[in-house]
Amino acid sequence: MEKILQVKDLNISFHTFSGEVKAIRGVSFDLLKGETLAIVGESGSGKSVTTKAIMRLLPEHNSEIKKGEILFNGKDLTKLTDKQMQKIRGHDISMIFQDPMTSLNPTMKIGNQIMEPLVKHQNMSSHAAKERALELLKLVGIPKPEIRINQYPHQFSGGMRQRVVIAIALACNPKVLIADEPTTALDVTIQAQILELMKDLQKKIDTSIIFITHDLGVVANVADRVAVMYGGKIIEIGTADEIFYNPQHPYTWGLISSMPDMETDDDELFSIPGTPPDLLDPPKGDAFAPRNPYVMKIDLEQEPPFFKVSDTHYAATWLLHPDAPKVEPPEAVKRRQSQFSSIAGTASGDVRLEKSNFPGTKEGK
Amino acid sequence: MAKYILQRVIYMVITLFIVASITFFLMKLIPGSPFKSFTKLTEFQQTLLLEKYGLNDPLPVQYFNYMKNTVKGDLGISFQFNNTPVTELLANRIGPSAILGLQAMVVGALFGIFLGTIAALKQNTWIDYGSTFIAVIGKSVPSFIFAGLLQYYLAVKLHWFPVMLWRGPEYTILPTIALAMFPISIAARFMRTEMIEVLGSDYITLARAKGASRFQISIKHALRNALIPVVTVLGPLAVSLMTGSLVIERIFGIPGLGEQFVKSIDSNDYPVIMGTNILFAVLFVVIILIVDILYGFIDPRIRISGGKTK
Repeated sequence: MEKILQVKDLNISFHTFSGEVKAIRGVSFDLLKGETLAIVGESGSGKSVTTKAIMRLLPEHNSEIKKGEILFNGKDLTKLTDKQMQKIRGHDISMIFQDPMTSLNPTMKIGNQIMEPLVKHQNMSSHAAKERALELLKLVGIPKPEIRINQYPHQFSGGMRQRVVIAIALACNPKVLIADEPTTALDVTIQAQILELMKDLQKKIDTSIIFITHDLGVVANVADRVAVMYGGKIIEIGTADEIFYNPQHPYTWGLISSMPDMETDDDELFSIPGTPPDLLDPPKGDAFAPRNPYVMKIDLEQEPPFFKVSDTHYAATWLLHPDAPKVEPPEAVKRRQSQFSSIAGTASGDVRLEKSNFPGTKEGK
Repeated sequence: MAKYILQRVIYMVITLFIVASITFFLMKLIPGSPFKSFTKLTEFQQTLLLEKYGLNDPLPVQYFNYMKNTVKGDLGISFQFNNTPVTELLANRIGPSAILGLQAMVVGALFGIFLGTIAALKQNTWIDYGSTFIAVIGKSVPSFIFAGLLQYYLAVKLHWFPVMLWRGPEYTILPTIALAMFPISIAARFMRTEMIEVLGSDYITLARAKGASRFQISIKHALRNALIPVVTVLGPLAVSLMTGSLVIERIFGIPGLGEQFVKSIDSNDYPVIMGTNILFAVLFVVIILIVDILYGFIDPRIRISGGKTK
């Protein structure tokens, strides 16, 4: 598979009043052509910072890329000037943001907002750009585009606004689409519609997607591969099936255990005890060690390297070391695995949690 | 739209009625009589005059008569300025005040918005600090000091402009600058704050993600959104500038409203006090209406459609 984007040993720090926050500490991953890579992790794990770094949208006054490369088309994006980067943003790599209520300019007609990247990157005349904008609005499923194109964002609902944001992102047929929690601010039925739309559009324009989320249900629905982040590092990466059926890192176990399911009605929903690490002063060993029920002495002293589970599956935990004691994943993880299998058996073959759990969702829209 | 404006005009009339009533009774609380300063008149002659102008009538009667005449467009005659009708007096005086105020406002708003915008774009650089310095000076130093300095250096020393009086466009420049310092500082401070807030918002990040350049982002996306609150502050400020600045008018010898207003209060010249106040109130409500209509142009969310406000 062709690698469209490569992130190599990325280190990013923020300079704050209380010191240097090492937000990203050696992140590496590849994005393959046409795939959807989900990045999951809790707040502050570095998901958004990684993707903002790819877009070079981090605040200039206090952020710094300390080390590493972001290779796109043979160019290292971390070395480009702002002018050169402007040609890539919105054209080759574009982004969908979390909150559609605030990510559109309230004083600009949505048509003009969609036309902006077209005029900028493809030198379209305003007439041609308008035609294309109408086409895009139709593509993202907005009814009566001829009327809607002249309206302002406040005349749209949340879900419709997110469709407009998607239309803007897709305007120039980008090679990479970064979606930063695009469904988090939407209610569940609209979430499902937006996810369907994104999957549908990905096939149509053949783009690769980096999908940031903290919702494993969404991951199961959209992702080909999953990278789990914790404390500014990727701690486990693999195909969606590998992460859901054969997770290796105790943090991934914790994440899967804290997914609500049909049987968690009477007992309390599981949560991982403790708090995320303080990245002002990152721990010496495994960042997850203080919260890890399977912690070993070496976890506190040395950072675990990536252990290979399969050709596509790697996890950074000392539990995979040949000398480590054999540990079984917790009961909750096993229970969910059997649930995934039974759902997958009735659905189309792979893991389709979200969609099949909501009978009201319209399919094929 | 027409329905909305009609509705607003009705509210304006009610507001003006209330303002006029309050002014009338407050004014009557000022001790003294309009004819006290006419020392050549005997006590008896003064009483005759009071009788003639209806000032010995009970207060409710005076109030009723005044309101009746005002509705007819008759604001009475001045006791102090040789029986000139108040309307004529105001008409002669409003010109210079309005021109001066309008110029100061336009210069102040444009320059202030410019200063505030570049300060926000170049946050924490010497440009930002320079703009802050100008704004602090403009707000804390009274206008008469600027007036004096401008007169001394630009007029007396360099002979670039006339020192004072009101005889043509070149006479308006120095007082305009002196008067504009305050709106400049207000607009610059507000604009900087708003602009910084807008530049940090999600839609600006989205605009950057589209590949828009810094210039396009500031002009096309940020400026218009940042202007919305600034317009709110500048509207009422425009009224206070247009209705005359007593100090500036005195220093430059400008025959405006401000000077006359203070004189009329000193001498209990009731019709002039009332007339001037009603004029101020009219200007105020009209400008507020203009500001509200302007809002619609700047911010589509509050645009008025079919008589309904959204």
